[in-house]
Amino acid sequence: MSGEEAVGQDGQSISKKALKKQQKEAEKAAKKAQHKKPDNQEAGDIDKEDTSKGRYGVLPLNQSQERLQRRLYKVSELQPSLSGQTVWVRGRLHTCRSKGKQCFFVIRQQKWTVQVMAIQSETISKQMIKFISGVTAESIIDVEGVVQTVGQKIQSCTQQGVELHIQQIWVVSAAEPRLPLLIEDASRPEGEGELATVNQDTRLDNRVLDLRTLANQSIFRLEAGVCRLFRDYLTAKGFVEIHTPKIISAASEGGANVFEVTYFKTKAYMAQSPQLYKQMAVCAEFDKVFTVGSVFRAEDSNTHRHLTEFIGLDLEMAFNYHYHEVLEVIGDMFVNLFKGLQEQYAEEISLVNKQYPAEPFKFLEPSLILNYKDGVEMLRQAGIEMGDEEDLSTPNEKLLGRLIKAKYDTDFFILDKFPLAVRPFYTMPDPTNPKWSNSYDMFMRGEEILSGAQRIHDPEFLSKRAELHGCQLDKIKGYIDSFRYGAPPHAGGGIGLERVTMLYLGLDNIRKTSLFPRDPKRLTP
Amino acid sequence: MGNVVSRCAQNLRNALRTCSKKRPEDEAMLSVCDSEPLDKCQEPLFDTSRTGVHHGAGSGSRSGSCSSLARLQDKMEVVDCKILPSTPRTSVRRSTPRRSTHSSKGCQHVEHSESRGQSQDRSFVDQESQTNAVDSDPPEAACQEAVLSKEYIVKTYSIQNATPSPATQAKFPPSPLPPHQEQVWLGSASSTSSPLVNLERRQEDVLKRLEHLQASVSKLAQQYQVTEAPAVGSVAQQTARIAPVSAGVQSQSKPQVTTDKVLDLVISVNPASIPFSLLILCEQLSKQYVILKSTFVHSSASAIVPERLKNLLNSNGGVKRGDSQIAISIVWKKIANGPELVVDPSRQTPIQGEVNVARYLARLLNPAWDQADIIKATQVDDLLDTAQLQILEGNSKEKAAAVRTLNSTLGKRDWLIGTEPSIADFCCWSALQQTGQASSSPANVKKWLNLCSQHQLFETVRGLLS
Repeated sequence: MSGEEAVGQDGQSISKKALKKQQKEAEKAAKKAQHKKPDNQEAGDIDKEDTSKGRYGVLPLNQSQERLQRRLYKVSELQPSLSGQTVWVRGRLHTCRSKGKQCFFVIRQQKWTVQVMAIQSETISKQMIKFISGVTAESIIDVEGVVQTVGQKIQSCTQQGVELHIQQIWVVSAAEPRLPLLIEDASRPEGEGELATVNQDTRLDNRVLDLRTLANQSIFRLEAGVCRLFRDYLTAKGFVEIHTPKIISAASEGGANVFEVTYFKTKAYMAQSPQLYKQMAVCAEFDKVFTVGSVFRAEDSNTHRHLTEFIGLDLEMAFNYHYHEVLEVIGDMFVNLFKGLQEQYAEEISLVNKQYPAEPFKFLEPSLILNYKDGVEMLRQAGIEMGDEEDLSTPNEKLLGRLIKAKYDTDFFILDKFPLAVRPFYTMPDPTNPKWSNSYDMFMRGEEILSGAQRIHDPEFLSKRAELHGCQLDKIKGYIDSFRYGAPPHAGGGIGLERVTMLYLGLDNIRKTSLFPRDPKRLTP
Repeated sequence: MGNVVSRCAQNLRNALRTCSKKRPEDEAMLSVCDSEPLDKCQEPLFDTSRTGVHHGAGSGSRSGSCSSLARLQDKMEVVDCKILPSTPRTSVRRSTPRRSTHSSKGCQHVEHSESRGQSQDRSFVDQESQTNAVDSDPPEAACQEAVLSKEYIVKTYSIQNATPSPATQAKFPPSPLPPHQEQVWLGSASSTSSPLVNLERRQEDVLKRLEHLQASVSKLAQQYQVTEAPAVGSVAQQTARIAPVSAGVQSQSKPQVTTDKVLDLVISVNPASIPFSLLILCEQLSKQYVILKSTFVHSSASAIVPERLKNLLNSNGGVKRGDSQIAISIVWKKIANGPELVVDPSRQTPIQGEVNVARYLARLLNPAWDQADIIKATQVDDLLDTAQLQILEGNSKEKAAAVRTLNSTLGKRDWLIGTEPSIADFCCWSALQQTGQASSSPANVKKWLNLCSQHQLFETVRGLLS
């Protein structure tokens, strides 16, 4: 075929069939040309008059060719005080509306947005406006423009008092024209009107885009704040940050299931709690320690508050006389944390609340400490039937949270003196009544976030308790042995970073506060 | 006299309970015993409507309370409301007897507060009982209302009394001899159509009818062969020590301290106005009970609570939660309607207003509060209302009038009630201090303020004045 055609092109011999075909194609081409003519002509016309040449376009791939001495303003810096100045801004094209001779678009930079206006003029040609409206959303662009104050506040942008009047626009990195989700849709509060929202799985599958929403930007900034405030407070209190191994030889703690990994020729496990190492560090004369690190739980529970990998904020502390010394430190740590978030992250909190409305987090200072018994009594008064030594079921936990909220108006409280029967073997029993134990749980918005206790630091007693719980002593020999060389009385606890962030913000799912969540059904991205 | 009535109603009710089978007509007759106020007593927490502390959202702190009169009226109502369910009745107005204490002097004042009281009382009644609120005033009532309109307390009684059954009117001709004490207390009532006479007549009537009822009940009991419930006596004996009149049902409605669990009181307080009276009462309570005291700062108020208030109430670790009888927590909080008390959130709306919380605490101190001395309790309630409605919440005119009243009261005696400082002194003192009127008060009040600040009961709060 190609041979024939080549011949035809040479004009030497053309078969009938090919001739017909050629004719047809020519007709088609003519038609096409005719159809396109007005466009072409127009383009041709303007080509001649394109006064904006060199003011827009796509930048070549940045291979660090040259280092411009050009100041890029941050969107957040664009204030009415800069009025009249010409500035360069780099950001993402958030949205774009073009209408014939004018075009408005919004540049987004993290949580800040500013409106840019382009109107056809001597320096701004129609082609340039056409080019702008052709730039795909989420592309990174460089824009040069003049800062102008506006008469009416621009409600849709964070920089409400100013807008940019465009002079140049260059695409630094173009986004695909078809996005798996629109940032606008992903930013919409759920259940509001009939406009599209994005479901959780789509979000998590395209987390890179999803994380660009204002709410997500704020959530993870706040989460960083939780971590920082935890570190700052404890460091100031004389705690030492330690790092514990995540690959361990045996399950350190009963109960939670562990992930098994191949470790050369043997098996190893992923740490499901840094507890053993925290305790060993305390016994190793560090006195007060904390650690921030990943924790793995092989629990096949698909709930709104379980992840298989999460960040644990754990602390352990030797005390002098009474484990309430530790309880008070932890309680105070939380108050400090909540206060810090309230003061330093007010904007983030309000941004998250715009998309996910929630009541502001309320707490008491000092933290409210109730006995488990009192909690059970409150539940009974509300008509719940439960035994003294029964563990709190999830619905009861929630109800208790509501009751305490109604009475004390606090979203955070501590339950002390849990029944010994529902706690792990290393929990120190109450000195007067063996029914109770020196252990405590902390709750935010009616959900447990911390579970802790005074630990048994006497190896003989510990062995006894372990046997009672049916633990195989040889498996936890290392744990017990660590208390054989003099161990101070100590207590501690651990919280999940994601859970605390979720409950502080009043979010409904822990996957919203994990950057790339891991649950039984999700291992990617 | 009210006690007699309520005791009768109680007995009848207990008798009725034992009847397991009832004919419809019997039931209709007996339903008179099944009156709402008694049922309310069985609500486990406490009867807020009885003490007048609960008025529904919004009006809570304003409501002040009327408990004294309500106390009298309730006891009448317990019987009366249901005995004549078909008789047209006016809705029962409640008000404080306070107006009567300065009747001739503060005439305009009475009228002013009357209209306010009226609207409040209306809602109060609606809320309390839909069953007996028939709002058509019979002509007699209107007439009496006109005659006696300047005397609010009197009016209340007269309206209530305006619809006696024709039979009783025939049986009991008006007699012009009201008891001396009550006449003094109520002021200017003296005509033959005196409400007191009517009241007395009506009481007689009620007692008659109760006797009649009792007879029918015992007849029914015989008919159905039920024995007297033995439990009633023993419960009454148990509670007799504190409340000789009330049986088991009523004791449940009172704030009560039991041994097996902690009575956990949470008082939310605005740091802008410190309720001194409550602090004094807490202090008194801690002499009587083992109390776990603690102070919290709510996140809404963390910026505005001065350091000295942050540990106002504190047991300093001396009391363990498990060992205490009462736990009192003060929560400093941005709160609109004054101090707010919550005991059991699942069965209660918050008690708002300093004096209303004080009333609750006072009943913890003295469970027989409402039984011991009705006159005194009423007078105290009157003063408490003055403190709340006039001094704390009134406009400058009302405030001045209240201070004048206090001044004249204190001219005759050292303390507002009795010979010892009482809850009335605490609340009035607190109100004066909070509104900054302590410095510019008239002589008698000043003398009393001095006396207060020297008294040991005021020692704890003296340091808080700044």
